[in-house]
Amino acid sequence: MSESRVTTGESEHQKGILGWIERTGNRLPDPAFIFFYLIIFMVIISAIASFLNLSVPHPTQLDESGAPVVVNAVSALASSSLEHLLVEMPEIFTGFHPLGYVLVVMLGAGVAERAGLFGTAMRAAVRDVPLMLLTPAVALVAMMGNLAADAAYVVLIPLAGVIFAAAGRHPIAGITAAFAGVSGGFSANLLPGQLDALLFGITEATVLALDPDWVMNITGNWWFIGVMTFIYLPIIWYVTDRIIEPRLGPWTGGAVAGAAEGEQEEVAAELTPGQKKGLANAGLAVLAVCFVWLVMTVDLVALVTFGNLSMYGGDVPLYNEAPGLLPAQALVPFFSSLVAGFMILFIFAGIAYGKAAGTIKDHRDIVDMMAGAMKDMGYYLVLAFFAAYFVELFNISNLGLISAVNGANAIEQSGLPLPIVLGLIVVFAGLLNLFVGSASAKWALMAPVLVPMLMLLGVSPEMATAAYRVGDSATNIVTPLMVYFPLVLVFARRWVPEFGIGSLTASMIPYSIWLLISGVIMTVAWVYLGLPLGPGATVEYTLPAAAAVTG
Amino acid sequence: MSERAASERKGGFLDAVERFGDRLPDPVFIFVWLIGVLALGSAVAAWFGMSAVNPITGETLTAQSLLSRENVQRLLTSMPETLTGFTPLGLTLVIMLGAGVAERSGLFSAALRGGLRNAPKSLMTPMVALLALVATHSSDAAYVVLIPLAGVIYASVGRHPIAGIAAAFAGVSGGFSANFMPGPIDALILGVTEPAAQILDPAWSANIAGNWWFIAGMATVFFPLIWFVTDRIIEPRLGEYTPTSAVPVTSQKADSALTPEERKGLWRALWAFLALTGLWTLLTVMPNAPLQDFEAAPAYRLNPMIESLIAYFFLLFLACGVAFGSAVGTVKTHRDVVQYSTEAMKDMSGYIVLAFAAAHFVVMLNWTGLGGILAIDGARAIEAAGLPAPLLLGAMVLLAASLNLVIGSASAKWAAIAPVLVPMLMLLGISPEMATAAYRVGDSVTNIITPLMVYFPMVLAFCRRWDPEFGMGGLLANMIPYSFAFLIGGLALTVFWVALGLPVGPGAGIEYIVPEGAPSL
Repeated sequence: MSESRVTTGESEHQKGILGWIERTGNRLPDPAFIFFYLIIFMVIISAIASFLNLSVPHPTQLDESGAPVVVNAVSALASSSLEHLLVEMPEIFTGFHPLGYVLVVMLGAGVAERAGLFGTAMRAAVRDVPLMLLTPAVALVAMMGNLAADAAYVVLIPLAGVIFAAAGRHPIAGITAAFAGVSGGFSANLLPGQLDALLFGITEATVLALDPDWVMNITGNWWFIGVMTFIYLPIIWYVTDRIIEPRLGPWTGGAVAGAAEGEQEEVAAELTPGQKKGLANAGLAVLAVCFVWLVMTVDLVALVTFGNLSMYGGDVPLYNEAPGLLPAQALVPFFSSLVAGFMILFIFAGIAYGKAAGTIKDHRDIVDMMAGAMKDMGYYLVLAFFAAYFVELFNISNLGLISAVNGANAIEQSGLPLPIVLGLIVVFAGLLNLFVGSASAKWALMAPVLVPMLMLLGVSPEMATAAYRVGDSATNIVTPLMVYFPLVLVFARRWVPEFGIGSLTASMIPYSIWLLISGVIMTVAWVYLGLPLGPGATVEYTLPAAAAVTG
Repeated sequence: MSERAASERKGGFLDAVERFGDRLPDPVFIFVWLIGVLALGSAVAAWFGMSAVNPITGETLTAQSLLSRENVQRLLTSMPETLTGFTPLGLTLVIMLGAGVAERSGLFSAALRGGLRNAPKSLMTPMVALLALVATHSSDAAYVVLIPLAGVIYASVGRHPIAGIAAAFAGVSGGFSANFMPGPIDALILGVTEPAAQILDPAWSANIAGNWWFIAGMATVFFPLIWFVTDRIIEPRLGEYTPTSAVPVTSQKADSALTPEERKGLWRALWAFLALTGLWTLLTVMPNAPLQDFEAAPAYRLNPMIESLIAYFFLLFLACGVAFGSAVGTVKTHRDVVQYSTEAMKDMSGYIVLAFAAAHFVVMLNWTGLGGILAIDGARAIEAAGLPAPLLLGAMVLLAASLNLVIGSASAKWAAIAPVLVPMLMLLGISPEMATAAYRVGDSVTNIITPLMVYFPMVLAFCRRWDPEFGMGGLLANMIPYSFAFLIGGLALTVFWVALGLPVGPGAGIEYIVPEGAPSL
């Protein structure tokens, strides 16, 4: 983590709501320990619940006589629970669904990021645009830049300042626009990426109690986050050009900031021929990988030869030919293969770029880049260990299911329409985000209750995840607890040394408010209209028909 | 290896191995190439319809191509599960989460300085070797706890840490079956022997102590071998250890005395140790204890306790590290704990990449079914050779040892060989226990020289913490002398044991009398 990069600004503690957020948040323990305390809390609660004999009828499973299976609260201190928790420690840890997904995607993204592909691609995308379109270009690339997580913060945000200054506009406006895009539009993207792998992994872990056959699909929010990008884009454009820039006034400082001239020059420099060639090669690699995946999903050989020849006897690996399946079901192998697909895509694109740009000389560089990406995951592994235990405790105690059933009943009785319920979830996630930064940690806290509850109300796990993501994004940019907040402050201070934590927050609040409002409206409207969220992912969800459990 | 070290090299066989090994691609890419070879090999084998019949189930094992629709789908859809399902990964990460705290709080250094300051340096190797041989009972915990610890121990008495790692690795893995008491591994392996023996004699039942005398004999032979190889061959080869700045473990000089804070910390750590050990004892012996399986046969009853040792060591390292650090001042808030664990995970980053490649190789080999076919064919070849009993068992040791280079799992390999060899040896008058014992010798000795053994990449990662330049070739070159010594010692032991007709365990002779009316093969 990068919290300690900046020590200045501590003395500028603010009064008011933001100051309060900062003080409260800093007093909270490290997220790993929040989970640790919650684990202890869960142990106590589960013991009490089991002592009180809390139970609900299972919504989908029937016993032999046809009556619903009764789900009892199980104490974590019961002999069988303790045995499970102590004997299977490594399995509980590695069985935490997001862990595998994220590590695999990061193995690939690490190569693409460290080879310099992401950074160069961003620079190339932003450089040669007309002045008027500068803001929307920066915002769009910033939102896309999330595919590279850290690289977007470290490369794009300072770059936006340089580009704005070079165009004679206020560099801070560029920095805020990029920050709003990268961080406020954290979930908005035109392509699914590692964040989708991470969040859906957690969603999957919480769905299985109700619906063991549910299959995680990394593209389950694709249309939703795509539309989010197009809604956020004009908002960032408008806020930057009409609110932030007039406030900042005209820029008189020249094109080069005082502090880090060498670095600035490097950021603003032309692309070298090697880098240009690298980008072209990476584009070809992307096409090649997409083509391989296409061939494995659609029997092109049979199409071209009119069925005379075919791959695998017409039975391609990533398409399920069994009769009577809906297209979305037949494509399940394809969806499941996308984690591997993105990893391979990033690796090949990264290698293709790195070979030409000179960042990858031999295979040892590739291994080092992968190891570097795993090193970045060090803190995440610690967090995942505790989060895995928390989710496991929720699952074995049955408390997630019990509170979901009761919560669903309560919502049904309150008569709140579903779109409003999801709107409220967005707001709740946005508020929680002020204190708990990590997207996956927060979702691991909320999902065990929210996802099954919404499933009982007929809302799909994909929709629940999407609503959460809207809230999780919009408030990133106003909480001083977000790990990159101090970094952005440093970038801004290179141009205006007296720019303080308060100035940055004040600049970001308009973005945050507008993003949150439009996000809520979009979520409510989406549910109301029942649009699909991604390929094979709908808003509605039907519980699998009640099935008798044998044994 | 640095330039200077390279020029000082002698031209011996081990140095040639090391140079060759280090010129190989990075271990990650070795696995990538192996997977490529395997994919081609499996496609060819499947094309020719290679198959073998399992004598027990009568099932025909057919070679499966990795390029088949089913295997391509399996590879691409289950990539994350293949990585996280790689058993050593979870074990290593969990232990390191705890050990990172114990190590970085300074507990290991202080405890070792306190405990070993007055211990003679020369007794270090026998102590580690003995512990390693005995610790195999907790199989996985031995790998992840003892091997890295041996490195720290050696470093803190001023010896070469990699020598310690090599000695512990040889004891744990090369002496996998050698022990002074029967344990879970005996239950596992003899459990596989049982159905094989029952092909011929339905009344035969496995006895977990059936190999007791033999494995004790093995341990007695291997123990001096580890001592000798470590002190006379490996350590002189490695030369003087000079810590580099990259070494993550701050090992203070062994002769520096403990500070009062450190003494206080060690007492606190001792209390934490006693509390946790007491808790575990309670969880194992109390009525309706969670860590006992009351429904299992007596031999398997404590299995939950043995499996929970990973959790025990994790909590132990964590609790003792925090207890020690709170006295010394290295653990002030919970943020220090999180930071130490995070650093330990960062140390494992190279290992995770390696585990990704190794995990795929291991599961893909399983998908092809080639391992089982190879084992059954090998057993058939021995059957056809018609050797006298002691030589036959010697040949079996060699077969197990060479199969072991490719197929890691002891029980999976035995499950493929046993149904062919055990009944055949019974017909020749050799007991199933003796057959099992011979297999186990071969299965142990080559564990330490095959990069395909699931823990090999992990041991390499532990070595690299001390010497970042240490390569696969270096580790192989260090382990070959052990493996060779074990193989000779084990072969001699087996042949003499059969020739002298000693009992292999209480109530288990080496001879076997075919019961009347047994079905002929």
